[in-house]
Amino acid sequence: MLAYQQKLLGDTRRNRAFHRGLAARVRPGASVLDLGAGSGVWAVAAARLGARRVVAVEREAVLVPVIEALAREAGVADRVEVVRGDARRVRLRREFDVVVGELVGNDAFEEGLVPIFERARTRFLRPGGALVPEWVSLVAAPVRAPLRLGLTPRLLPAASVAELTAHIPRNLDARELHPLAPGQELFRIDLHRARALDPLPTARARFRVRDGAQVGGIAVWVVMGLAPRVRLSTRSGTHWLPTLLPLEPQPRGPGVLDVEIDWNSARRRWSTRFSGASGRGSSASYSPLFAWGVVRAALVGRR
Amino acid sequence: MSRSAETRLGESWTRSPRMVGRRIGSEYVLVPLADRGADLDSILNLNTVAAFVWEQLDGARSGSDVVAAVVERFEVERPRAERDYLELIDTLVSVGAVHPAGRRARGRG
Repeated sequence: MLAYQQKLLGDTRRNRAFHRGLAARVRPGASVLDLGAGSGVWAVAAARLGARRVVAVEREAVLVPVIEALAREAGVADRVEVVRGDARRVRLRREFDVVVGELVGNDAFEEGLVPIFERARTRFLRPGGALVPEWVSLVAAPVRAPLRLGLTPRLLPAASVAELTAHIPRNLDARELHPLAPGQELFRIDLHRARALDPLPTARARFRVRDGAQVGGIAVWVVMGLAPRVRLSTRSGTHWLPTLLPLEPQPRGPGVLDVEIDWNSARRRWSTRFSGASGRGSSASYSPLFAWGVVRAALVGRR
Repeated sequence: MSRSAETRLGESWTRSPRMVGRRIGSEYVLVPLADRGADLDSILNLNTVAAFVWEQLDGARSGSDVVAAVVERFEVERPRAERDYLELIDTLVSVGAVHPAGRRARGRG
């Protein structure tokens, strides 16, 4: 837990962006709510930026004294209240001018960002208050990837495993991914309006690539809007990792790659259609659900 | 064959755009593009013959056309092929994987 917090504290790009976002939103005398406060760095930063009152909500008991010590060290302990609790269930008054929550995961939404922010803005945030982040978007680009599915080195035939794992997204260091076309925004979620019950929209994008055979997958990363003109991209240089959606080899030569992505976690799916300049094309669909179907069939067959 | 089965073999079906299929090894898996949540029970595994039938459901071929293609491809008796075809259609209809494409007169056979 503490090692992970140290990893976050060492993320220079993240720290600068969130601090700039808070500085743009926290006015002297403001009240600030930090959901999923972690080490408390943003709660304490808000107090130092002039907030009159800050409530830091953190569910991990081990982090509560860490936040309190940080607040004492920074001389703002009298303005920072630590509440041990789950951001999904905490009960507070509707009195906050700013709600900050660094609840963005590698996949953007897996840490409960939308439901937690929906609850916070409807119960705790004053009308006209600010959210940090205020929006999140997904950006995608075709990439060359060094990923080798199956067994490396090839000690055994492992094509069956490779076929299954081709349907499993994975997080890779940005240094392993080499973009083959400029990134395109898939969709943007406005956290002032987003509702947890609304599914994420199915995203579509078109990329022109010089050589379909070089495409190893689609990299997807997150861009956060922390305040007007303050953005943070997880494409590279942060502790976050882009997600690689693997693709099978496309035909050689230049062409247009059309991509459709359903990012909803329970039914994640991506489909491609490659139209080569030479007339050759290919299309395919991928989803962990396909792999699940194959495994289930094997399990049922053994009963 | 019952009258209703004969009528049903005259019908044409088309694959729902809300289903996506994928062959992995010897398995053919159909996954629904649900609007909400995942329903793992609605994932269908098709055997080789069922996958062949699925790919024939283009809205133009009648059930009889598809059965004839199955008989030719898999060397199966026609009554068995008709029975299995109708059973598969029932399953596909139950999960919304196919839609009727209109009725037409029974073709061959």
